Amino acid sequence: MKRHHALLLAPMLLAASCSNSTATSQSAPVFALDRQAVDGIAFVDEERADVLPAAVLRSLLQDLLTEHSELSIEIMRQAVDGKPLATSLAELTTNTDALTLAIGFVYGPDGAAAFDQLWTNHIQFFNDYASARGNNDDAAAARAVTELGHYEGDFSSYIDLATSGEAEFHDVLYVLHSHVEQLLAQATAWAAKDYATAYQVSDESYRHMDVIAFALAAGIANQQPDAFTGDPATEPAAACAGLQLAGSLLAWNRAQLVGAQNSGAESQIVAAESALAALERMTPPEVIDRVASLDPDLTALEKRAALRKALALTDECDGLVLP
Amino acid sequence: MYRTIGRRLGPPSLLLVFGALSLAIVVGIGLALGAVLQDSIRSRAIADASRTGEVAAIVGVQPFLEVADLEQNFLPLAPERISALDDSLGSSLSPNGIVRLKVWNRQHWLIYSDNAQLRGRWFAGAETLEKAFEGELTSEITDLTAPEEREERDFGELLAVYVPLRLGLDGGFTSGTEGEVIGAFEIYLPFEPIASDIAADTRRLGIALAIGLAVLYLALFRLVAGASRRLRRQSERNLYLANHDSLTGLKNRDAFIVAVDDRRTTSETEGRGVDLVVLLDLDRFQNINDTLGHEVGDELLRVVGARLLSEARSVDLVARLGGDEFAILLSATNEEQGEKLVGRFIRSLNEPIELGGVRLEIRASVGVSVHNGKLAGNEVLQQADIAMYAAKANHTVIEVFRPDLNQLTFESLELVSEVRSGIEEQQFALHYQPKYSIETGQFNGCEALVRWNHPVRGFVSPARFMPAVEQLPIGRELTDYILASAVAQLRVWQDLGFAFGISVNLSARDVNDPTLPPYIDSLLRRHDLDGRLLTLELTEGTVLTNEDRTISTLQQIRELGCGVSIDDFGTGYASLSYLIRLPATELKIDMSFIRDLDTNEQSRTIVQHCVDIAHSLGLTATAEGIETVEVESLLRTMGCDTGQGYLRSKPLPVDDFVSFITAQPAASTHGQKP
Repeated sequence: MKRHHALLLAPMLLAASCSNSTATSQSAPVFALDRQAVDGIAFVDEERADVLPAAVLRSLLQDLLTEHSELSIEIMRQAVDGKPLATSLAELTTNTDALTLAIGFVYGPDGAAAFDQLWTNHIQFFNDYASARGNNDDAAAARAVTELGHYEGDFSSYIDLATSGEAEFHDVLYVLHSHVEQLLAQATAWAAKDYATAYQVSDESYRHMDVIAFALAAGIANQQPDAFTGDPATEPAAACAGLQLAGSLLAWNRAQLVGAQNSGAESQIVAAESALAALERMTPPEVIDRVASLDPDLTALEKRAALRKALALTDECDGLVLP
Repeated sequence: MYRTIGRRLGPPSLLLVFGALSLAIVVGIGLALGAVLQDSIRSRAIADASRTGEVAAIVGVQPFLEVADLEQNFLPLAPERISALDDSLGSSLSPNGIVRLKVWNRQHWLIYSDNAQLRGRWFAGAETLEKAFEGELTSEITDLTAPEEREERDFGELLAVYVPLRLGLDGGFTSGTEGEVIGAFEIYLPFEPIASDIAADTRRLGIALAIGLAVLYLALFRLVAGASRRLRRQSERNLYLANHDSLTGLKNRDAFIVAVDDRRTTSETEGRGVDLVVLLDLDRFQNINDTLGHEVGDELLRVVGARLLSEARSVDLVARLGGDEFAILLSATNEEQGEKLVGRFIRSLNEPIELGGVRLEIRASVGVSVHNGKLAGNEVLQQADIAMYAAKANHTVIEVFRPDLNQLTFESLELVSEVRSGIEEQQFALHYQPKYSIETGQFNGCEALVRWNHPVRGFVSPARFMPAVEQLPIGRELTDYILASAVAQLRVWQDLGFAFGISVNLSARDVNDPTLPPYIDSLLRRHDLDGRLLTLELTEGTVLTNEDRTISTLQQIRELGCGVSIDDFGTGYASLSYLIRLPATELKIDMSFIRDLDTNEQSRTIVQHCVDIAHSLGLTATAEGIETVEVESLLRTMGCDTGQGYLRSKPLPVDDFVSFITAQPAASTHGQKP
């Protein structure tokens, strides 16, 4: 374990272990921790007996992270528009629980708890930013951006520490920063009613989640070669990931168009149609056909399951069975 | 210690400062040029490498791609297609110096790379990738921070070249600059060889630049060193000129005052003996200049300076303050010794000086001020100046400054300073004293006398300011003013039918001024007056100062028709032979002989002689200062022609004068013409 990463990780670990309260933009990082306490956390669950293909881990993370991105963006848009958050927020909480479960699967309950706290906090910061944009409160927006900056460093340290440097701090920081930038940019565009930019940046953010998923999966697989087998970059894992990404992104774009039509805003509808058309031009035809068969009113979680089924991923990916 | 060293070394020379500054500038220019050129070399080297990469991409990679490959999104290329590309490209990358290849489509999908980890994945990509999508060949020394560059970090520093991938009109790829960009190659080249080339070129250029600048600096330094030497010599020369009189080589006024100030400091600190400031002003030097020319005048000043210098001891300082003024700063153990020393300087001028075949007797008026160490140099000099003026006015050769002298002379100097404003503000007025025929009693003229109605001092007697004014250029301005006023008044009286003339007094400086006759001529012409109406009076003493010049001026005045009157006759020492040469028309017998004419036998004898001399020379004899009937009667007996005095009238303001004349018998107002 790298010592400087341990120190960087310290505040969030402390926050994770000492506080169960809901994070807000006002929460102050605590920069004090007994290093022995950090070293004492067993991230790698030595007792876990399961062995998985690394590609499954990538697929799982990609699935959950794209869903996280989709739900986060939906919630931020609602916050900007000043709409109630109830349904999406509940789905996002479920998504966070699933991610925490996945992390727990790899790093045990201590690692899962630290992750959960960090993750919950950063969702709140995004929400704070979106609300601030909706209220034209620049000061609050700036505070949220500052908190997200802290989050980037904290989460990168966490991953670096957890993967024993296999997913190195700066690499994670780089991809995480892009993710934060994209989400902030789409919210800003949405607040400015620049829907074309909002949809475009949102799509990029969606695709960028695969970059994060791959970095995490590769780092974890390298760290634990006995627990994760194979290469997440090679066939058929790569094809599985591509299909999954194409399908879920297309499904989301369709859902976005429905949302735009429900809003009745002409410019939003035009932008959503344009974004969907552009996406369909680059989406494999078989994915388009299968996504078309999905019920657009499904929740995110239902959609994910339905999509995997519609894409027959379990077949095409040759035994890449998700847990 | 540092202060001691600093004093010993003194301030750095101008050349040293220039040397250091110019070196810093040259080094700065060198560094700036070096940086610019290095940047240029680097840019060129990178551009060359980029073109190499472009050629490698287009020639070595592009032929093996298919357009359909670029349409692949989300999913990797089919395994067989990847195998085909691996087979085709695997052997061509290294020979072309390519350490990594990436092929992007416009949607940011990495459709192919020799790194299997990247195939079929989406990345945001760098800004340079976007430029390539816009059709620009770009490159950057990548920092390898992007996630898609993780695998390249082991290669060391790399140059990433982005080559646009274009679709030609035939539906296939094209290597031209036209066509739709549907993707881009990203080619990584090792930067180390490029960096080596850059370093080698930079080194060569740096050496050339350093040598060039060194030569430039040395040439510049040598050039400036020469200029600096000349400048230093000129500076020394300027310093010398700033402190010395160029004519005599003596110290000048500024240097003298500084020396007096320094002596004050010394006196204060050491308290030894007395210091004397001696001011010498040559008498009638202006006459020498005017008559013998400035060259002779200058030579005379040189001789005087040399004589004074020859008398000076090493502790004394001789200076020429300007014009014909010299000053000496003397140190004496006591006032007696000081007196002797001053005497030596005065006596040194006694020996006549022969210049241009003319033997010149030099006389000087000397003012002495005792330097008690309490006054500044210019104040001490001012005291000596006052003493000198007193000596000149009193004809005492030498005066030592004393406070009462100061008071009197200061007043006259102050008055002199106010004359010009007095003229401008018309504070001067002319009063007129009638002149009349002693024989008939008829008025036949008048003498104009200047009066100063000072706004603060009230009436100021001419005796308080004229002696000083007459010695200065402002005296001529006052004379011009009086002449102009008198001639203008003549015109008025002529128009009123008064036919008598006016007499105006001139000073010695006036009659030595060659511009005076033309000025009088212009006045007469302006007012269309007969010159015979104007008489110019000058004292016997005045005409003796510069005989030839005076005679010449007076002749010119006579040629204008004007009369010339010798005033105060009998008090000077004019010889009869000289008197004969003067183009005079009137002798005015000094009033000192007239006032006691009835009581003093000697005065009667003198006056009778004067009247006889005037008549024998064909001149009008005039007596001024007639105050009693007895005197007037005696003068009539003696044959004196014209009278003037309080018996008939004191000098009157113009209006009173006109009233007075008008009140006379009719014949008087049409007095005889001069």
